[in-house]
Amino acid sequence: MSHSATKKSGGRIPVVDMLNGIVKRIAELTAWLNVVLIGVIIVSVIWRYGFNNALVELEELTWHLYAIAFMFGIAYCVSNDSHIRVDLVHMNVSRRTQHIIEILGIVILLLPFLISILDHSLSWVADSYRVDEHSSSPTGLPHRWIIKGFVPAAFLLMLIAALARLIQEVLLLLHMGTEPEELDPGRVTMIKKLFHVHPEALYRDVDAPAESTHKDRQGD
Amino acid sequence: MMGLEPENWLVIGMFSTFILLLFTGFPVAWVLAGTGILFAGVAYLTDNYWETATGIDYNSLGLLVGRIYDIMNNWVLVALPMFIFMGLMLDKSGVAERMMHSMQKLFGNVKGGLAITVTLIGIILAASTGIIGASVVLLGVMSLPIMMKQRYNKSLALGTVAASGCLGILIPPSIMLVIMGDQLGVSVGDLFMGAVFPGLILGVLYMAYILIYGLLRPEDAPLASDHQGVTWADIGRVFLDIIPPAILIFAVLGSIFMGIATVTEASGVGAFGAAVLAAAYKRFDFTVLKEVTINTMNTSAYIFAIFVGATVFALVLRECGGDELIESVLTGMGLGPYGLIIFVLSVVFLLGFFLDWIEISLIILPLLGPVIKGLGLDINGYGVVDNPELVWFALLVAVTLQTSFLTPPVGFALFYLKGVCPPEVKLVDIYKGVVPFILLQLVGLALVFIFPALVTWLPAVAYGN
Repeated sequence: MSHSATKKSGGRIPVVDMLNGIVKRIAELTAWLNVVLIGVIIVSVIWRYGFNNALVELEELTWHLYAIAFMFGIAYCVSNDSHIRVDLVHMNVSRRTQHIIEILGIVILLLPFLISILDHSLSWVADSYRVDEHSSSPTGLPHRWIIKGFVPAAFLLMLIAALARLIQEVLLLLHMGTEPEELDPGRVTMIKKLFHVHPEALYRDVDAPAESTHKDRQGD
Repeated sequence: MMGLEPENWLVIGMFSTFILLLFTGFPVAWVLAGTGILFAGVAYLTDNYWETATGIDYNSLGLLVGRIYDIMNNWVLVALPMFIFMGLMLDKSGVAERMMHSMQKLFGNVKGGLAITVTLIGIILAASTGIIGASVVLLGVMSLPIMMKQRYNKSLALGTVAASGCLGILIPPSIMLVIMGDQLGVSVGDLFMGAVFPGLILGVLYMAYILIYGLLRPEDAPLASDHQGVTWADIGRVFLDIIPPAILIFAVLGSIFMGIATVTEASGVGAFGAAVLAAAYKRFDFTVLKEVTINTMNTSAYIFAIFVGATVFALVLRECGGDELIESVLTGMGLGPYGLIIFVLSVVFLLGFFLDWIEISLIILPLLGPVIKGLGLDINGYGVVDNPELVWFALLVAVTLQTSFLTPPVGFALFYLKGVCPPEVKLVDIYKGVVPFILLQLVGLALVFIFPALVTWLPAVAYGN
């Protein structure tokens, strides 16, 4: 356990990194569907008002795109730990307790859910494929099984992300990895990460007492 | 007290387990989903070994796949990632900083002018994500350092930021209202229009308070040390900086209000418009687009995860007869329609201490919708607004929630604000600062409660033509 040597990379666990890498790459790619979605909406608006003609295909395409992006996104949130938590108690318990909560939560709550949905969704997609289900609208998109297939695909990705977290939490509990640095309670950290907020840098030009430059902001 | 059916114990068990597990800090989405799955298992066991008759087995869980798919093919909810993209892009475009800078000059000669600027930006840029923590954090990051520098009273500065940040979840285009509309089965456009007056009333109350504060205690809301007289050029600058984002937001809202575009169409065009605005301000490049895109995915995903979790929870709850139980308990309390609404709002207020609007809208509203509808409230929809009582109720919940997020000791917004404050700011300073704003919000809530027309009049007029 060479904590100091691996400080920069945070004492990474290779298998966890590998699994998270898969999730991250897929979700960051499908995130771009939101940009495509903007384009599709613009085109369908132009079509509707410019040519007075609503295109059912485009309308259906919009929710296809949105659905794929958010379903894979859910796996991404498991990976980078940005799901919403009730921080109230969580931020006041020890790291060890947090790891135990996380492990129990994944095993008792998350995994049974993911596995049962994954299991049921497979036969559900197979049914759709067998009858080559078509949109209920005659001019809608064919091959419904394709979009339906994204349900098991997304749940598989969530499962991968959940397993990566499980491995990571167990290893951290056993002190076989380096704790990530995290000064603030969960969601504040998340928002700072999301919006690249660095409050420490903001108050430099405020002629406030000297302690404002003090980095460690815990314990007040 | 009525006798409890065996199934009712399952419902009570489900709710208690859910609340207990929430406080472990495990992600809310998975607590919801996991509790649902666990109690499907418990119900199967009690069906076989006790006297419940829910009929749940492993195959019933197959229904959940269809419910998740229903979220996926919900066309209205497509607006959600689009509004989030629009908000994040507006944030990146730097319009807020520009407005802050130019409006500060305009209001530079008014005591409290800076705080008023913050409130105005909070209102105009309410679109920014609508995620309660995010708007408070962003507004705080942008304005607190300046207010501190100008030696504002700490509590006034903090209270202004927290209250204006919370206002963002109410003012359209608010993603909270999109979700509430979806859950209650009312038109999102009606909710957007219904929110206009309550939002404006609160904004005006805040600004009036700040002005009066500045008059009574000028030393606590000082002018900038380098302030100069307002020139025509300054006024011109303000208009130049306000007009582009204002056009964007009014175009989005206007096209919905006038019935030209659906909410989804307007949201997509708004997202595009925000990108154009960022490009016009030379803030748009691939890095920005990538960041906004990934953050949009991330933000919408954690909302939708709770959607999925709540769906699982709600379905199992319904199979256990939870819906009827809650309805019969609520209507059996003998409170009368308005008493019941006050009771429900109090519960929402308390829940708002530890749950975000996402969870509350998704768990509570679908359960309450039918109850509220069944009360036979006589809310004037002017013959054009569908379900006026639900539109009114949704706005009451919305105003209550943002009050709740602001209320010490656990109000959400306060903790987020604390996270971006300089270290010498204590939670107590924030508590002190928000108290007057909470009182103003209660005034706003009372007004909406007493005069439902504040909500229903605008949509009625818009559709009446």
